[in-house]
Order: sequence, then structure tokens, then C-alpha cells
Amino acid sequence: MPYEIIISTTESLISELILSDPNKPDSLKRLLPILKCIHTQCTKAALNFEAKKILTARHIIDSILKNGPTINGSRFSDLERILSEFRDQIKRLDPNELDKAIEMEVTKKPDDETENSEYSELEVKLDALSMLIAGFCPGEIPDLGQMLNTLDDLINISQDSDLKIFCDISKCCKAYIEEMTLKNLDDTNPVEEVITLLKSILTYSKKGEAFTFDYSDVLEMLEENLSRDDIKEQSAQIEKEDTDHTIQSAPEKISDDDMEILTDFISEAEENLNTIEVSLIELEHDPENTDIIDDIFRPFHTIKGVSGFLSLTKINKLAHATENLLDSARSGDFIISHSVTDTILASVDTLKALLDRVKQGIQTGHSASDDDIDVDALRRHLTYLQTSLTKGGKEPLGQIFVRKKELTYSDLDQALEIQNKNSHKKLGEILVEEKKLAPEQVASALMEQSPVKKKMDVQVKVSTQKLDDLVDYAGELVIAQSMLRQQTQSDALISKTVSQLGQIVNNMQNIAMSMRMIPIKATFMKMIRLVRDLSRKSGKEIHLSMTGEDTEIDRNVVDALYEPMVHMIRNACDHGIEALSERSEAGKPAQGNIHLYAYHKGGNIVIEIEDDGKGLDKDKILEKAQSTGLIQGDEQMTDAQVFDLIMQPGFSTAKQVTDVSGRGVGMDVVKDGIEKFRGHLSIESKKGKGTKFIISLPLTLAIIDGMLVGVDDERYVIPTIAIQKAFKPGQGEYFTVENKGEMVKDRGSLIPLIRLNEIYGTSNNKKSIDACLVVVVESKEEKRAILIDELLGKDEYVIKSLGHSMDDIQGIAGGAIMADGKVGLILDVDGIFSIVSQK
Amino acid sequence: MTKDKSPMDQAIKETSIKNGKYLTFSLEQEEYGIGILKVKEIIGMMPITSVPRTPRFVKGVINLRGKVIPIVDLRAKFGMESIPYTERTCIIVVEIDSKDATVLIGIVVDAVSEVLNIHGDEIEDTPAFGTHLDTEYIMGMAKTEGGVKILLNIDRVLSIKEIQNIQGVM
Repeated sequence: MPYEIIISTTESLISELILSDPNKPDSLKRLLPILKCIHTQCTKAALNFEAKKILTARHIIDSILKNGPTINGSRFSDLERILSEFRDQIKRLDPNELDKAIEMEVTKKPDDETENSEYSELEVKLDALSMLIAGFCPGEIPDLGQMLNTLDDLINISQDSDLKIFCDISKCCKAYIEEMTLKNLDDTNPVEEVITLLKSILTYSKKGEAFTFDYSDVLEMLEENLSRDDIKEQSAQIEKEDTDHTIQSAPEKISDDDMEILTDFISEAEENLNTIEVSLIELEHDPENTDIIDDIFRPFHTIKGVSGFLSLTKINKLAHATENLLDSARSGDFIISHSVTDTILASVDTLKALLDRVKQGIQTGHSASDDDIDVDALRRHLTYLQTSLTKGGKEPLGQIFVRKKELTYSDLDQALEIQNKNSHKKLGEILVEEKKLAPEQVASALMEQSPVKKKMDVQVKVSTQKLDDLVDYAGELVIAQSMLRQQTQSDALISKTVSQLGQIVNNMQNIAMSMRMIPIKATFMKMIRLVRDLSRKSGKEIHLSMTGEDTEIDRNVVDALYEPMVHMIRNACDHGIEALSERSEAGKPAQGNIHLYAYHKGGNIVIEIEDDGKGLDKDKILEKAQSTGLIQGDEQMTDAQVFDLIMQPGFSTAKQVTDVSGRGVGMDVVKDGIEKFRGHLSIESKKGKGTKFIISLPLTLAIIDGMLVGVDDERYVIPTIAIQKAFKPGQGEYFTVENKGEMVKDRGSLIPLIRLNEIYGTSNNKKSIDACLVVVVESKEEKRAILIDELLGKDEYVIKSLGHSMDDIQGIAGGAIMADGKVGLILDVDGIFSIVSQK
Repeated sequence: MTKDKSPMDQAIKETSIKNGKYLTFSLEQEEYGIGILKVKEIIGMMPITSVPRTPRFVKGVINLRGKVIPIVDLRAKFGMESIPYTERTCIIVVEIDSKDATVLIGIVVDAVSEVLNIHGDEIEDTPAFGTHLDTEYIMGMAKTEGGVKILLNIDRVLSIKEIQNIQGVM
């Protein structure tokens, strides 16, 4: 039968087409209902290919209707061609077979019907709906009406048969289609999504399983187009969604597989929730820190995802709502306030309670009921917060006037009444017209109403590797630029451009460098916690204060600083600050103080750790050093040298080994750590008054100020920081001891001489001192003179590691690329000294 | 976790590693090969800054576009007589896997020959030469039309530890 219908309608379609006038596109409208009829029949008969043809024909008509008669000629012939093709196709089909297929379809259906009449009914309706959507063209109100009718049927049937989710989604969809009718929307995507969703729900229900997937995205799609203003509607909808799940929560047995996943989920979720709590408290102090918001957002997201999978609907819903709120906060829609953190904390608590239920369920083997835990109120609150805050959460304008005492309540009420009658007028306008307020007052109140969001630098996260690479390349650019400068010195015009380039390059390098700078505050903050813990443990009262915590420092240097600082703070707490009784005996306040300073000083960052404890006992140190054989006996030592002794390996003056410090591995580790980063550690101490550890580290580890010197064929860079002076020794300023140990005399003091080629073994020629210069270098109050051939200049060098394999070569701090592109070696003065002393 | 692979797995991995493309180069009269995936680039000879207190086979360091990389003379490493560098002398920059990172190291060879596709069954295990020749870093011997190529396990040839260890030895 359908075959005949198709044939006859096709014939009438063709005749209509011939009759219609190409110049009057409106006449084509008559074709549309016929096309639709054919389409429906085709889909019924499972003639998908043919149905598609009809759809194309239809799109052509649409475009003709839209674009007017200008390009109609060709379009029109296209249409004619398609339709005649279609007719031929239809005629070629075997009518008997076709009808048989249709009959099969029909006969199949009753089978199901006997078992599940509602489902098949729903299915039929859904099919009808999907057909309507597929054939829908914008602006066809009657079609929409038909859709609404179908949806109504769906809603009715599903209501009768306990398919709550199905019913609710259909309702939402209906609301959307109503919206489409009213506002002439033509986006049918959401409806199509709904149909697929409904179909899958149906298959689940048929099998007797609960549908537990997260379908919120589909609802969101629907809602996106609905007017958002009405919060009530949204929350009402949430309620609707919720009611459906009470049916499913009848105690069921938990299978073993689920058990495993559930256990994992719970432990993970609990851990997540605990981190959320901590982060939330941090967030209260720093509400705009998106990193923290991210930290909170992620766990909620995970919980939402996994709980959805495990059909823990309440947890899923609540986590979802919270996640939404955080998401808007994260995207900067509003700034997190205390009310928001409170609400999130409340939802954390509720989630914990829900998790407890699940845990009980695991223990008993049956899922525990969580009906008594109410998540709806909380969710409504979360949604409300999200919507109201996103809108701006403004204080009503009238309220502002009243608060500022520019307006009385009665005046305000009057104005509001006028506004009620005259709804398009704004409150401010009315007030000005009524001469209640000056325009300026209104303006200022309006400004106040929309608080200027604190302008935040948009920040991005960049991997440190990329940052380091950038710094590397910036350094390279500097080198390349200086090479260029040398090569183009002769040409005035080019060198002008080159110097311009140089400026840009320098700026770029500065920025690249500054990107790695972070305030030292974070490291200092960690010390507060440390001191608190230590003072608890040792029973001393210790207070930590700090100055200059905003001082910026290279990120790598911060890492270098942390460990040594921990060591030294421990030392100060354990050995420096005396016990309470000792302190009161010495007439000091009971509370011990540790003060941290940070400041820049000549290209270095200096960190001082000062305590008001008992100070270092010089005699004790000397005694200990003698007993351990570090020093021989009555050596003449400066204070600094004595204090340096405590930084020798295996030296510890603490009488008692505590678990905090005093195992004899302390200060030497600290010193090594700092010196590895070209830093310097010195100690100042007064017995009974306190000790001060002074760490000085280069601001950046990437650049060094150095003097380029030539020795034989090699060139070396000596860090300027170590250089005392350079001079040419005159007659009688050079001595030898036993013809081996060489020394030079500089203003009365004798300085041992180092020949680099000897200690490095580069060559054996012993040059005469007369032809050479000496550079006096100092490290740890020791001086040595290094014999060089010539001074080649002073510059800033980008330090390059020689690679993993050669990082620790004694006497070499690294490499630097010279202006000619060759690698020069940077001397490590300390290392050279120790090589010399080993010999 | 990755370290505790069964010997079987390791054996499979090694054979599959052996199969593949090799960059061959000459040293003295001998032909050597390194797995092509290990090779980063080949550059001509350039000024090398010697670094003191390193083993003799470490020629020094070069500036490879801003990165300082160490250079190892393979002749010196294999105890061959050193010859003056010619026009054909090349530096092959290879990637060495070390414990925490991959590092670039340049190796000086007499000349680079070609890239060969060597099949797994053309490769024979290294015969034992006795005590006078350490075969630990030889992956195998490939019998090709052009003769026998000695396939190097470059990670072992240039073990970082070895370069580090010789500190102070001079």
C-alpha cells in the first residue's frame, strides 16, 4: 500500500512542479507538504536512499525561497532533475517486495506489544518525532505543533508507566520546542540529541535496567537556548530530575566487580575531599588565585565523573552542581566570597556523608539508602549562587541610595511605584526626573553598583623547560648579536642598526630572565611552619619574623635555598635558641626570635638568618676541632675561619644528638649546597648574643660577570666576584720557596702563586713571571695569585653547563660562549684552591 | 618497574633493536655503525675547547648553537693512534641515555660513510676476543656486502660514568 501512495503522490508532485512558475518562488511552497508526505512514506518503507533525495529537493526549494528568483533558473532545473530521478527510482522498485517489507515491519511490532505495550508505543512516537525533526524546515509552525503533540503523547505515556527520566526530559524538550515556536529558533540539534537520549533510555528500560548515565549535557543544550533568567524554573527542573531516582534506590545487592570499583572510588574521593578542604581555606585568603580554584575544581570533576559511572546519583548531582559553580568562578565570572566557600564546604560535608553511606553499603554488601540525606536544597543553593553571582550579584540601586542616605525609603518606594507603572524607565531616570537626586549621584551609585573587578594579570602556565629554553636562546641571541657587532664595526650604517638590535635583544633577555624570578616569600612561609613544629617539639618558644620577603629571586635559586635554610633553621631552633631556663638566667625574654632577611646586594641575593640564641662558642669549636684533628693546635685563625670549621664535614658541637639536628652532617651539607650554586655562606656570631648566617647567592644562575683571561692558547673566564686585583709584578715582588712554591708580594702581603697550566695539565712550559700578569683571587678569606698571559676583557657571560658528564670537574664552574662562538671555560676559584691544597 | 623486565623481554627488545637502519662511519680501516635513531646530526669539524681534568679521549667541548656539548674522540677512546683532522673528519652528535636525562655528545670519526639498512639476521653476536678486547659496547657484527660493520652500542661506549670517573686522573 505505501508504495501506491508514494507513486501517486510523486505523480502529483511532478505535476505541481510543472505548474509552478519559476519566477514566482512562492508557488513552490505548495510542493512542501507533498514532499513531506512522500518523505514520511519513504522512511516508513525503509527507503532511506529515496528519503534522502526528497530531503535534497526540499533544501533546494528552501534556498530558492530564501534567495529570491535571481539564481533560480539553474536551481529550478536541479529540482526538476532530482524529482524525475526520484520518480524513476520509485517506479523501478518491485512493489510486492516493498509492501512485504513493510508488512514485516508491521507484523514484528505486535510481538513486543504483547509484552510491553507502552514501550513500543513510546518507540513509535519517538520515531515519528525523529522523522518530524529530520524533515523540519525553519519557520514551519505546523510541524512544530505536531512535534509538541507527539511530545505530549510521550509525556503522558511515560508518566503512566513510571518512566520518570523519560518524562522529564520530554518535558524539557517540549519547553525547548515551545521556545523554538516563539522565537523562531531553527537549531534542531538539541532536539535530535534528546531523541537519541530518549531512545537509549527506552532500550535500557526495556531490558529492565536503570538508566544511569549523565545526561546533563543534553539538558544544558536545551537550557542554553531557554531564557536563563528564571532561576526558579531551573531549580524546579533540578527537583524534577531528582525525584526520579528515589525509585531506583531500593536496596540492591552490590556485585563483586562493583565492590572493587566502589572501594577505589571511595578512597580516592575521600582523599580528594580532604585536599579540597585544605585548598578552600587557602582560597579564602587568596580568592582570585585560579590555581587554587583549579585544585578544587579537579577533584569535584573526578568525583562527578566516577560517581556518574557508578550510578551514585546523589553524589553525582551534587558534585556536578558544585563543579558548575567552581567552573564559573574559574572562568572569572565572579570572585569567590565567603558565602561561596561556605557552600562548597557544605557540599563537601554532604558528599562525605553520602560516601559514608556507600561505605556502609560495601560493608553490608547491600547498597545503603541515602534517602534521608538531602542534596536538593544544597544544589538549589549552589545553582542560585552561580546564577546570581554570574549576573554580577549586584546590590539593588535603590539600596545604595538609602545606604548612602541620599534617599529615604518612602522616596524610594514612590519611585519604584512609578517604575512599576512605567516599566521601561529606569529607576535612576525616574529619581532624577522627580528631582530627588542629582544625575551625578545616580552616576556614582551606578559606578558603585558594578564594582570594578580587580584587574588581574592574565597568567599562563608555562613549563619550566620552555622557560629555560627561552632564557637559553635569549642568551644565544646576545652572543650572536655581539658577534655581529664585532664583525660590522667598520660599517657605520650597519653598526647603528646592530646597536638598535642590541637594545631589543637586551630587553628581551631581561624579560626572559625576569620570567624566572619569583618572590622568596613562598620559601619563607614554609619556614614559619617549620619553626612552629620545631618549637613544639623542643618545648621552646620561638617566633619567626621576616623582612624583605617580596624580594625576587631566580626560580632555580629558590630551589637551591630551600634545603640549606631548613638545615639552618633547624640548627637555630635546636642549638641556637636556648632552653627556657637558660634564657631567663641570661636575662633574655622567654620567647626566642629568629629573623629572616632577604635583600639584593650587588647582583646577589642575600638571605640572613639571625637568631638571638647563645651564639657560637669559639673555644668549644677550637677544642672540638683539635680533638677531631681538623686543626693541629695553636694555629692563628680569624673568627671567620673558626666559624668555618663548623662547616667542615664531620663536625658537630651539639652534645646531644636529637632527631632534629646534630648528627654531624649539617653545616657541611649546607655549605656544599650553597656553593654549588656559586653562593657563599658566612657566619657572624657573638657569644651569648646570637648567631647570624649569611647566605649570598647570585640573583640568577644563568649569567655571570667575568674577566676573560688568556693563558697559553686557552681562554678562561674568572668570575669578577672573586677577583681582588690584577697587576704586573715588578722586580723583587716574586719569590720562591725551595725553588718550588712560588709567591708574589702585594703591598706587603705574600700571596701564593698558581699556574693554571700546571694544575690543569695543559702544558708544561714554565713562563717567566716577567712576561705575565697576576690576578689576585680570593675565596673564604684566602688569597691566591693566578698567573695569566693577558687580560682580554670584562663581560657578562651566559653560563652553560658542560653537560651531565662534565658537571663536577674540579676547578671548572662551567662553560661560556665567547664572542667568536667558541666555548670558554669559567674557573671555579674554590675548586682551584682545593686542587692546590691537595698537592 | 621498567627495570625489572624478564630476561625474555629484554632479549626480544634487543633483537628488535638490532634490526634497522645504521649510520656507518670509518675509523682507521674499520667500519662502524650506530643505530640511526641515536644520531642527532652530523657536523663538520669545528674549534674544540679542551677541558682540563678529563680523560684523554674527551677532546673538549663545542658550542652547538648555544648548547655546550662534550666531544669524544673515538680513535682515542678505542686506543687507536690519533691522526690530524682532515676535511672528511666529522663530528656525529649522538643522543645518550643517562639515568635522568638524555644528553648530547659529539663523537669525532674519520669519515661518515652511509646509512645502511641492516636486517636482524645479518647481525652476528659479538665473538669473545679474550681479555685484550672489551666487547661490552659492541652490539654485534653485521655482515654486509661492503664488508663487516661493527655495530656499537653507543650508550655503553660513551657511558657518562666513565667520562666523570676520570676526574683528577688527567
